[in-house]
Amino acid sequence: MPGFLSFENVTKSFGAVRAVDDVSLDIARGEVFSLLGPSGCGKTTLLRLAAGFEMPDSGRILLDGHDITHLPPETRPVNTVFQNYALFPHLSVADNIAFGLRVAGRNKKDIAREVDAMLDLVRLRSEAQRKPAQLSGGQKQRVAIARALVNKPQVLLLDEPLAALDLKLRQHMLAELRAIHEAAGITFIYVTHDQTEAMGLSDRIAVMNAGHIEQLGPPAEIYDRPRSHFVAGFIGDANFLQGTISAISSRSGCEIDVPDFGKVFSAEQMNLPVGTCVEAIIRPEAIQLLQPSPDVSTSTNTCDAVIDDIIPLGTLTRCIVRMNGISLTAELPRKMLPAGVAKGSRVLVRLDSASVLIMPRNDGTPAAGNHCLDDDKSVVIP
Amino acid sequence: MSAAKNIPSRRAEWLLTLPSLGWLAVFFVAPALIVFLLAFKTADATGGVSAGWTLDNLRALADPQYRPILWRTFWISGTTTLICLVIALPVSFAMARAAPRWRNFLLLLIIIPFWTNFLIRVFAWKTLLQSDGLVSQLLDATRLFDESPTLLYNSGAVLLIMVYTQLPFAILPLYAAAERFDFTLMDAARDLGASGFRAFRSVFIPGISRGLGAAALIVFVATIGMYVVPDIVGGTDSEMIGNKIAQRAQGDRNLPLASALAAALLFCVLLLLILCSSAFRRSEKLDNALKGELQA
Ligand SMILES: Nc1ncnc2c1ncn2[C@@H]1O[C@H](COP(=O)(O)OP(=O)(O)OP(=O)(O)O)[C@@H](O)[C@H]1O
Ligand SMILES: [Mg+2]
Repeated sequence: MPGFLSFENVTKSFGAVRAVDDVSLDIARGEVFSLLGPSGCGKTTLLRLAAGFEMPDSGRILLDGHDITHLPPETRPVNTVFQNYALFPHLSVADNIAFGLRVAGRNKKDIAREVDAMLDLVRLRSEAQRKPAQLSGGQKQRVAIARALVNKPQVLLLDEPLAALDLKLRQHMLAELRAIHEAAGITFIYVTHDQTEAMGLSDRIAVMNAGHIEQLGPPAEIYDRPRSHFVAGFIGDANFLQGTISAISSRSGCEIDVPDFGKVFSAEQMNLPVGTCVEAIIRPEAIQLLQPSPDVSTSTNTCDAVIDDIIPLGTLTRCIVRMNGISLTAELPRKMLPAGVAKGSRVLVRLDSASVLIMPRNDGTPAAGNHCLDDDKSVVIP
Repeated sequence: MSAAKNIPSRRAEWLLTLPSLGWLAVFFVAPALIVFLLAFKTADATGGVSAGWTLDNLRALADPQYRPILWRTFWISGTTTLICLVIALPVSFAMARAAPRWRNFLLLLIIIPFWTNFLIRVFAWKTLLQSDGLVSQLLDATRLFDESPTLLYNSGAVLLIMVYTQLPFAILPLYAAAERFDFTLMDAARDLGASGFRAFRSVFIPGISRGLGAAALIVFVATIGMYVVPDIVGGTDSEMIGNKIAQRAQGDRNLPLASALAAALLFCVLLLLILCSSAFRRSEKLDNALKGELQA
């Protein structure tokens, strides 16, 4: 699929830092595309390249088939909602929104009409004459969106537009952004380091790390099938278990041997030989806690454990369970907890084999002795 | 906060402000008052001041010889201020955008001239511009002129050297404002379709307007009373009010008349200051009123 906005092998360095490292991506017309990643991974830089504030060291940027790599920002049909809004402090809300139209030399009547339409869209009609300093965070953000949208850009770039808002307002504005996207039908590139924002808004997500794209796909795919340790740890919580492949079944999946836990079976089809060092990734909600009883066979995917901690999270309860040398984080609805569990209770841990993901560790070379187990046995990235 | 708690802090505030108030009183208010009072005295033959009061000096201000000089003073000061601002704006912009390690170096370059005495710098210009000086020789070498133009003793020379001496005083407050300016606003303007120049004009200049006001006031007030520059590099057609005051005080030994002229100048400047600050306050009040409305 040829993209509407495409990056072709774009690289941008600041001194020794490769802020954007050989990134290629295609963004479709009308889609909400999110760039998600930790602080400093190059999200803003990628956006600034698209807006024209930075020139890439190499590579091309295409918009609707035209090379825009070296066009100055004012000539690109792209507008930005800045991380800190960047509203003009000396201009009123209405004048901020009118700025782009005035610069474009539109006549007064058109400007007044379109500014009015925007004020209605973002519901700021009664604040039209205020200065930015006299607005709340959510209002400022809406002015920033209106100021960009009024120019009818082909692509709207949003750089963490909700970062400064509290949770309630953020949820509200997220719904509003979705509505605005539907009404305007413009391509959105949405930068955030908040995974719930990205999951809730986007058609597709690119997870970035250290200047490159680790994984790109629809939100559910990124959550369910992370392709790297980094993505698994960054999107949602994950437990990591280190082990070696002990048996492979071509139809049903593979079995790995996890020291201190036992056999873990994964339904995933892996083309890896027996003996490969691998990492099993288990989401906290894929762990069941059961009453220890002799009827339940302690075989594959189950292990005796002790509850280290119980943390109520509201609808879910988080339990830290420890077995021998490893500990796991489980999250389950309160009703699903075995009756009468408390700190120190013995429980039986069962992993849902359909939700156990396996990926090769390091370079995936077969284990020599126990070298797979040099690192921490289990890591939980919250 | 209770009134009892307020009293010690008030007193502390007073004690803290006292030294600067005292300084102002001794070195500014008292001399200004003396000048005002002297304007109503008569001069005696030895250059002193005799007893008794008179309004003659004020009447003498109406003398037609002063009017063109007063106009010229305002004209030269205004033009100097304008030229200084026009040069200082892009300079301060560039300085604020320069890499941080360059900024201090550039700032040093602006300040270095102050290490040389003001008079010496003006005389240095005189040497440069005199008829067989470096600039004249260079102009002769270009063979653009049949006869090398006189570069000294005219309003042009006064203007040039005034701009030279006052430029740092325009750059420093503008740079201070530009350094605090949020340059993502320029990006935002470009993003919305503004050219670099348009962004500079519609976003940067309004953004540093306070610095601009300060720079304009400093340069204007400093040049309006200027007497050294026109005295050294100016001619009879570029005299300013400062020169007249000096002539009355030193040449004619008529301190009261010099005082009357000085008082008139002071009065003009004060009037200007009051007008500026009240215009400024009015815009602040409007902002505050709107803010109050928001909170209500
Ligand atoms: N103008 C610049 N000069 C030097 N280094 C820069 C510049 N802009 C960005 N960088 C570096 O490039 C890297 C990526 O920065 P970028 O701003 O794109 O990160 P980000 O993903 O937007 O982070 P955040 O989530 O904190 O906003 C960082 O290491 C940063 O220090
Ligand atoms: Mg950023």
